[in-house]
Amino acid sequence: MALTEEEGELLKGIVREYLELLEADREPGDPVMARLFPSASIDDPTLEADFRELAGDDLLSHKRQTAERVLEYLDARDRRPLTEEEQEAWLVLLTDLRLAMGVRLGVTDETFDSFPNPSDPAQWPLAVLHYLGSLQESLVTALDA
Amino acid sequence: MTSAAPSKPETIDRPDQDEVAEPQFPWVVIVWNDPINLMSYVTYVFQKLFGYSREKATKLMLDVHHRGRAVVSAGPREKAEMDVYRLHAHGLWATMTKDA
Repeated sequence: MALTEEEGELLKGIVREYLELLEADREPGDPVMARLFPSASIDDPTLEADFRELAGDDLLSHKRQTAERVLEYLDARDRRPLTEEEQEAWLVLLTDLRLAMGVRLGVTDETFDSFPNPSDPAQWPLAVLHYLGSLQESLVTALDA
Repeated sequence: MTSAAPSKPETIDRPDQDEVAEPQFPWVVIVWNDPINLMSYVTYVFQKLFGYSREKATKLMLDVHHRGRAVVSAGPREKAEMDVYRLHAHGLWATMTKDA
C-alpha cells in the first residue's frame, strides 16, 4: 500500500486516538459512541437493550481488533500490498475513523461539496476527514477492479 | 447469535408447522442515510454482506441516499440481529423492526 512516511505517522496517531476512545469510559449520550455503536431499534428500548446485551461486547472487540490489525501494518513500515483481510480491516477502520471525526465535526451533506482551505488551521481536521475519504475511496475502487 | 429468552426453553423437536404459521419474513433490517459514509463503500458492504449483485447493491445504496433509508434484508429475528450486527460492524447505521 502506497503511503508516505508522513501519511503513516498521521494515520498511526489517528488510529491510536481511536483505540483510546474505544477503551475510555463511555459518557452517556456521547454522539460519537452513539454513532459507532448505534441503536438496533428506533422505537423499542427493550429490543435495543437485548441487542446490546447480545452483541455489544463482540462489536467492541471487533472494532478493537480491526484497529490493532491496521496499526500493526503501519508500525511494520513495510508497505507491501494488503492481504484480503487487511483490506477489509482498512475499509472498516477508515469508516469508523471518518464517522468519529465526522460526528465530532458536525458534518452535513454539504460538507463534502467543497474542499477545506489548507491555510486555515481551523479547517485541518476537515482536511484530514477528506484525506481519509480519498484513501477509502481508492481502496474500494481497488477492490472493485 | 440467538435471542435471550431464559424463561422459555426451546422444545427439542419443534414441528415445522409452527414455522410456516409465522410470516415468512417477520423482521426487516433498515439502513439509514448518514452524511459521512461513502456511496461506493455502502455499495461494497451490501454486496459483501448479502451477496447482492452490484446492480441491486447500487440500487439499495441510492434508495438509502435519496429516500433516507432502505430495507436491506428480512428474515427471522436471529437473522435480523445478525445482519444488524454485521452492518454496525461495518459502520452502517442499521435498525431492525418487526414487519407490520
